[in-house]
Amino acid sequence: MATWPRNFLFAALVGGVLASAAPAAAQAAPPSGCQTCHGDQAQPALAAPARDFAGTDVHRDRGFTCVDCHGGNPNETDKAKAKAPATGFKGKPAGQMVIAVCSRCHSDAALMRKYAPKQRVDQAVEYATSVHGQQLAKGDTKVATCVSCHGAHGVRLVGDAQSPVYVLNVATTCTKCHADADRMKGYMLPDGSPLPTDQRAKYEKSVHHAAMVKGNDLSAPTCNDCHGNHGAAPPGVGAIANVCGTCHTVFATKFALSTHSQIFDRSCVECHGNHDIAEPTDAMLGTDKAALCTNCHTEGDNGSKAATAMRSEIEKLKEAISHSQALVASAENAGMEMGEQSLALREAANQLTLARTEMHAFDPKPVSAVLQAGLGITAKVDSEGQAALAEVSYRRTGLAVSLGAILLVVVALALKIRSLRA
Amino acid sequence: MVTRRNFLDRLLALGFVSTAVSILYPVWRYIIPPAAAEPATDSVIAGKIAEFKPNTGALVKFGTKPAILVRTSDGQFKAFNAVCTHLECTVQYKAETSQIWCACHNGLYDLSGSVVSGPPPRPLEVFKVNLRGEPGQEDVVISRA
Repeated sequence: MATWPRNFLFAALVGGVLASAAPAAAQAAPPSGCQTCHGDQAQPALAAPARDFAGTDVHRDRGFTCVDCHGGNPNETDKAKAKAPATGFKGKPAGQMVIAVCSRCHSDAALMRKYAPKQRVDQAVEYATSVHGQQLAKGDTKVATCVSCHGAHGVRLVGDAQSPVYVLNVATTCTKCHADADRMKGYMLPDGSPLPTDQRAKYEKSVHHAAMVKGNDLSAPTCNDCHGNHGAAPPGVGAIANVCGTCHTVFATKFALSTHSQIFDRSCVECHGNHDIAEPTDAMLGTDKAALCTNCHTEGDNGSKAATAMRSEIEKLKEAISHSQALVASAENAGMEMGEQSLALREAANQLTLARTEMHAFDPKPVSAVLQAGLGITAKVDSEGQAALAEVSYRRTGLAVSLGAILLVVVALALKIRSLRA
Repeated sequence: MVTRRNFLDRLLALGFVSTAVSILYPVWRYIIPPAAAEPATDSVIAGKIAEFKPNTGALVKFGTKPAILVRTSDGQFKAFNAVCTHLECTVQYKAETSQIWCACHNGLYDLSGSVVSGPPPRPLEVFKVNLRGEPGQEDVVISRA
């Protein structure tokens, strides 16, 4: 602490000379008086901001300094004067002040255009509509603000893989709070039940997480794709199909045609769940043990009949494709050209996929029409496969006959030679 | 002691056995062939240039997989692997929007093969298109880029 004034003086001299060139030139600012003094602090909480800001920080890289967010006068050698009210010193912004500080620039379209012309400037407006923003407005200071997700010092661009809001890091960032049972205590869902804290554990079992992490598909959804980011909130009951439908458009369209869309309170979630969405399987449809239809339908009712009909036809096409594939592989292995048939089987598989999509209207008729088209293809492939195998058999028989004739000549020749010797 | 006659008999027997093996081994391999991997197709002739009208697309057999050949409104040819990168359905050309479309889950690709919208995780594989032959009678040849 004893070195504070000396360091401050040096920093103020250096900072004072260079500060005027900072934001407008969009160049990294040199260390300010604030940074130099804070960097020497023994308390980690006081030293960390200077250290982090001196590392990689998108604001620092564009010429912004501590003063732009915290106020104060880095040129003043006296600590009290440097942080005097007249300098606009804000200290450590918290709660609504964080939103005000960040949005002073980030909601200013003219200013943002100079640094990131494509970036949106409605984050603060969105935030005010979020559960976080609404809670904050009620005085709840535990909720997330800008810095909770983006960090305060050492802020990185969203596309930076080390940013806490980089697509692969979003779930970790959100669940820093949302998986903390103590922190979440007292928060309720709209239905009055306690806010769960197992979202991440469930999400990590989901097909979405697998697509992102194992399949390297960065377009796969993470928390903010369904909940929003700045306007984060659970999708309302009536909005779930729309939210899922932003990616699964065809399913949403088919589902909207179904009677279920009028009955299911939580639409897609009723069958697929939300955070722990598993790979959908055909076993979900029907009336056997693993099927979901039996959760509501009883044996013999119309829904049960429809489910059974759709499932049995799907299974029929799957078996037909599998049988045809084996036949084609067998003919190909025997040397026959089966390229056309392999292509046709791809089309049959397309029909199977289309039927699984069509099924979301829960009407057996269009599903059956698609599946019948697939079965027509497999029947044709089967007949061509059988013909190819018959051709193989014919060729082998011909080969056997000609070989037999050659063998006969060889034996006769050998006998003839022996008789000549005798 | 080996006589000349014995030696010739043994030589003849060896010749018979070798001949029999050289005939029967290929027969054996024909009847029970080794499980061979699908030969990779590197190039196909899609057809004559006049067969493809502007702003149309055509599916072409490329080995055992489909390729899509698109002739754009300004007459250029573009070709892609027609297997959707989502769930492997076959894509088709949508003339109204000049895009490539997968009917299974509404995946849309632009004419550079990049994903425009929908669930496909990756762009379509781009193939090279060359015109070969006399002007007006060129073959449209699709090959792996």
